[in-house]
Amino acid sequence: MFAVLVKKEILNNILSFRFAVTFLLFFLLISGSMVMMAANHSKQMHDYYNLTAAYRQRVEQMRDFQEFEIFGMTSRRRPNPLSAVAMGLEPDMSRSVTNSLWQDIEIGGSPYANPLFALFSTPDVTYVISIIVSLLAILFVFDAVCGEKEEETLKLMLSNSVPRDTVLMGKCVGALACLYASLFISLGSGLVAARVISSLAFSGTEWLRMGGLFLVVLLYISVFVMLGLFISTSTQRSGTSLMISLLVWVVLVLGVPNLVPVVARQIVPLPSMARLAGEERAIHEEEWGNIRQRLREARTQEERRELITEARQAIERRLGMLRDNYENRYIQQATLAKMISRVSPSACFTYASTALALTGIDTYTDFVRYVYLDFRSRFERGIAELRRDRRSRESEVGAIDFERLPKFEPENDTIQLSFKHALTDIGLLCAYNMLFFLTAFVKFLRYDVK
Amino acid sequence: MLPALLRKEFMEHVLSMRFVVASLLSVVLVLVSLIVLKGDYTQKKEAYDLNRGAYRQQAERHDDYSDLELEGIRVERPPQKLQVSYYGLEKLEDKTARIMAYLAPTLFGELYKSPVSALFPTPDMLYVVAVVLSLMAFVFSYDAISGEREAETLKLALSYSVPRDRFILAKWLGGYLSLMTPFAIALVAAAVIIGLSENLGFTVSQWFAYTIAAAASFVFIAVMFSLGLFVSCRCARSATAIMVLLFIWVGMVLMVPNVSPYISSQITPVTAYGVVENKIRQRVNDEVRAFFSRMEEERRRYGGRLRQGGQVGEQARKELGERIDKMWNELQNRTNSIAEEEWTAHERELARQIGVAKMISRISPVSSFVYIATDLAGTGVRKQLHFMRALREYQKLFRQYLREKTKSSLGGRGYFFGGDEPEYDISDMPVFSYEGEPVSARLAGSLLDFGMLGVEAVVLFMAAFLSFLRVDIM
Repeated sequence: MFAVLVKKEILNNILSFRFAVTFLLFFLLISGSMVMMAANHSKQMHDYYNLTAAYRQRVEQMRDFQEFEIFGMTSRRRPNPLSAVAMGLEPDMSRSVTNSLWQDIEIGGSPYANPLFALFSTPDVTYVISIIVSLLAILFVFDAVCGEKEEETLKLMLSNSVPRDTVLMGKCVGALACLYASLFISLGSGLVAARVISSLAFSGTEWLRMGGLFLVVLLYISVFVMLGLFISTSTQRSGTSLMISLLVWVVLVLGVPNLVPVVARQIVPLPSMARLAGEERAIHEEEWGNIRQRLREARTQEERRELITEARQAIERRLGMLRDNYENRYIQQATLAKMISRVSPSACFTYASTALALTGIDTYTDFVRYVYLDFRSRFERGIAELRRDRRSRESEVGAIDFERLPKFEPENDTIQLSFKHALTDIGLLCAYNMLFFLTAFVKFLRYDVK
Repeated sequence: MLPALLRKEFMEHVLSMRFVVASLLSVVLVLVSLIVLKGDYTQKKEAYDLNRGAYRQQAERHDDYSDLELEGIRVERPPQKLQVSYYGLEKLEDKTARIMAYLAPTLFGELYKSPVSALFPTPDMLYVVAVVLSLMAFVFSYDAISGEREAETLKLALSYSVPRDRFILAKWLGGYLSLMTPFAIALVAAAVIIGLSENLGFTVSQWFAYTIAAAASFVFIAVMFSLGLFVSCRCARSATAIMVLLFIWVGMVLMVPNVSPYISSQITPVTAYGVVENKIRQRVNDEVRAFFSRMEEERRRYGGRLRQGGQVGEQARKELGERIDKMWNELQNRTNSIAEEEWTAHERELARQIGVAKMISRISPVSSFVYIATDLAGTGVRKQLHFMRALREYQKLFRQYLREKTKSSLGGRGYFFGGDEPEYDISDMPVFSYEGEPVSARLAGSLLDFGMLGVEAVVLFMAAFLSFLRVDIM
């Protein structure tokens, strides 16, 4: 009985105009997006290699070490191939970072110089799925029950000994089968096309992440199918069901996730960067002021070096505490925004997919910490070491060995950690599935089919 | 006849569920987003005022003008008031620049910002109109003709002496007015909130920009509504009409504007920002090295006279100082022209890429609307380019100021050559104050997009009109 119902639903769907439009949209948008973002990633990789080579050449042509110290060291993170699927916060993590002992850390301009990139949302696969596929999913099923009632086929079906739960499950599985098949074909062809057209290639771990992403996508689509079924079992007319579905979709996908971050900025405002820079400068001035007199009184070079090291360590410690406080506030803001926005399954999907693709909030927070704390200390220690080596050779003039410069390599989360970060959102998506399905089930058991 | 038909259409929409949904969405989303973005603007303005003070204090803490010359001064772009309705590029954190005497200004970014905001688009009025209202326009129009045909009321209505042209005009006007009435109410309410707000007082030109951008919203929705009506005329069934319109909506609203920058970046690639920066630094390094070599040569040339001491030594020191000061000014001119040359070439490439992207994206009326609204609000692409020009103009003033201050002391290097060290006082230094383009220039820049929207609205209405004149009502 169940198999017959599922087959009926699948055939009904496949033979409808709606399915043709849905399939076409899935195919064009998902494959198109994959190809385009893969080509974009290839360009970013090409720029990254060019920039690294050009910078290396410039450093090796520097006259002396002091020149390097004045102009500083510019580093970049290697582009992430998974950003072709879920761009997330990748553009911000691709900015250059310039460290110099004479200046504050400078973050370079966006690697996307064209401001139109910022004016419109990135059309990556997660955008297509989050916004467009969710709309298609809900429109696929909005009249699954009320439409059949209007056509008077529902009472015919239920006048036979067909359990209501089986009918609802049949509708659910039938709709999901059609949507999942379209998704699978579109994603598959997109990945193949992307591989052929560009140099996009994933490692073994990245394929595992893609697998995780795919599962999250399946969960997300089924949330909207269940939601659509719930709305359909709550209304008597398909026109009303369509309006309510659109309203709910607009609120959950376009409203809540977009409004919440702005609200969170009001509730937990961050102090300005200038204030932070001012406090950092005050720390530098205070510590150097404290040892100035002692430096004048120092008799030997060794003594002076010790005092300078002492001052540097004190500065590092205090700057670390300052940055930690700032970072805690910043994490507080992000956590509040995430917590409130998780009312929307779309937000949960975005957080889970970007966490798995290493372009999410946790990866970004780690990156910022790496830039301002970890790499900064490594840079200062590395430069001090290089300076000592050069002094011991009694010469500061000559080419700089690029290989000896500290490497800018922020560590990525392990796949287990990424899944851990995504667990709450995956759990919420499962919970939404169950909630909407159970409410649709209960509603349908009491549904008036006449 | 027309008033009666219009009243009938209007009342039918107003008494339907879709009107409730559209009203709710228009009013709630517009007002909530305005209130939230108003708070956001207040925060940004406070941060901007604080930053300006902090940057000024940093400049005042230098010991002399040489330090100021070497380290430069930071300046920042103020937040735009109209971002409360049209956020546009205000989301970009690249609003601070370092102004140095010897290099063209460059923007730098910030990593400490709300990452959650970066993951989702800002829900401003632009978003409500471009995404939500455009969808509602299709929802209001998809069954205007096809629905009446299915319900068999169309042939009833036209069996009377109802001219088809009046009928379709009434459909258009009735549907459009019922859709835009709640939005107009939301706009007026938003204007009242802005007017009553203490820190957001709009100037006359800002009110003008707000009004014209609102007018653009009306034209844009007219385009979408006409398109919906046209598809309704062409489709026999409403289910088919809504699916076709959704297909069009997804393409026009969610995809075409978004993919255009990526397509244009493949067709007309731009040299990476970092490569240009690198090239400038490389060339500047070469010039600086050449300067130091020449300076050494000059010192060696004057070496003998300097060692003599007395009046001869003094004279030699003075001449050397003047010579080096002249060479330093020439170096600054050269480094500035290098930076100017490279950035101008980069901007030309970028302008070409932006032009191609805009051309591709204008297939969709959403893009034209977004360009009009953001450019008028001063939060669009034009503002970015104008800001960069303003920075370069200020950098010239800054250089000029430093030259004036240090000409008596050989460019601030007087103490090397026995000259007077000027007292460090920057109270009269020109202050960077970014005003934005005049509204007339912004309006002139939006005329093409306005024209396109107008033409699209007329063409699509005519298409719907002509389709209806020939539609089979059976």
